[in-house]
Amino acid sequence: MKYLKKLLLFIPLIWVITGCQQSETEQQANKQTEASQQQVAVDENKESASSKLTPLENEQPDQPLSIDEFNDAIYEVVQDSIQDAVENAVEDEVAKEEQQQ
Amino acid sequence: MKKILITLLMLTGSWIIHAEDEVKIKITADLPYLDVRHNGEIVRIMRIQDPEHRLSNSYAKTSRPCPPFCVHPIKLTDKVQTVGVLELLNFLDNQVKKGKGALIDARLPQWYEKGTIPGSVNIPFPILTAGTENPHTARILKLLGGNKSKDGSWNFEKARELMLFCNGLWCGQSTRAIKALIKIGYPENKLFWYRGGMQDWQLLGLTTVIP
Repeated sequence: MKYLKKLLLFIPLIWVITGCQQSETEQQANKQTEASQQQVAVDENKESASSKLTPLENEQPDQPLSIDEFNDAIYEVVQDSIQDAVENAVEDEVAKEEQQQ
Repeated sequence: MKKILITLLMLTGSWIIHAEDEVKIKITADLPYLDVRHNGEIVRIMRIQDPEHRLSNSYAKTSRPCPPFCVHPIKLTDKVQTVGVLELLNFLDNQVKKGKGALIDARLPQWYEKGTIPGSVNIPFPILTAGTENPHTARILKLLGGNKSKDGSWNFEKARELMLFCNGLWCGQSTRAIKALIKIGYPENKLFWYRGGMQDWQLLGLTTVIP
């Protein structure tokens, strides 16, 4: 009988503790979903703001290049184009040879 | 201390005056030389100071078969301005220095490697004649300040002014580059043609650089 009384006393205590823990985890979960919803909203806003820009504004370079930077950038493109031209010429030659064979 | 400073200033001043006086063969009476940036270094454009100097390279040659080496008219189109040496130097000193213009050597790399005008960049004409669908052409146009919109058209409102040259008034490389740029939609009032090219430049004994 004594044990029964003690058990009856413990049951509500256990129930209260587990109830509190559950509500805490629920709150955390709620906070996380709220935060992610806010992030989605921010991203959507950013996207809509950038889509309002015209394509020209989107492609505008950030900073004008200095003389040296400009010359280096042009040089790089020219080198790439020469490299491509050489590779294409080699490919053409290989293709010709293959055709002849 | 003051005396030392004044003496130093006077010495520096007299050295500068002396350096300018040493230029006997100037570009104009008021312009002994012009300093420009080339490949990250300052290069002084001035005339060869030897009054006996003669050209002995390929620019001394007078006659080339025409076609293809035919003499070009003074005006390429109504709006593209044909310029001479002084306009080119002014362009280097203003538009190029301020990042608003580019002096373009439109010759093939094998010509460019033999020597070019200080302050110029080499954009061989085939890159420009390849058309805007070519990725290299598109990259070049973007660097020159062009903007491509999503419908594929180009806007050159904020693009640099360009001055192009090649070997001489018998050379077709710069004219082909200019015509290609016009075809792409580059504004003609932003294009300048140094018709005399390298031959004109070297006839005056002006500085060339080997890149």
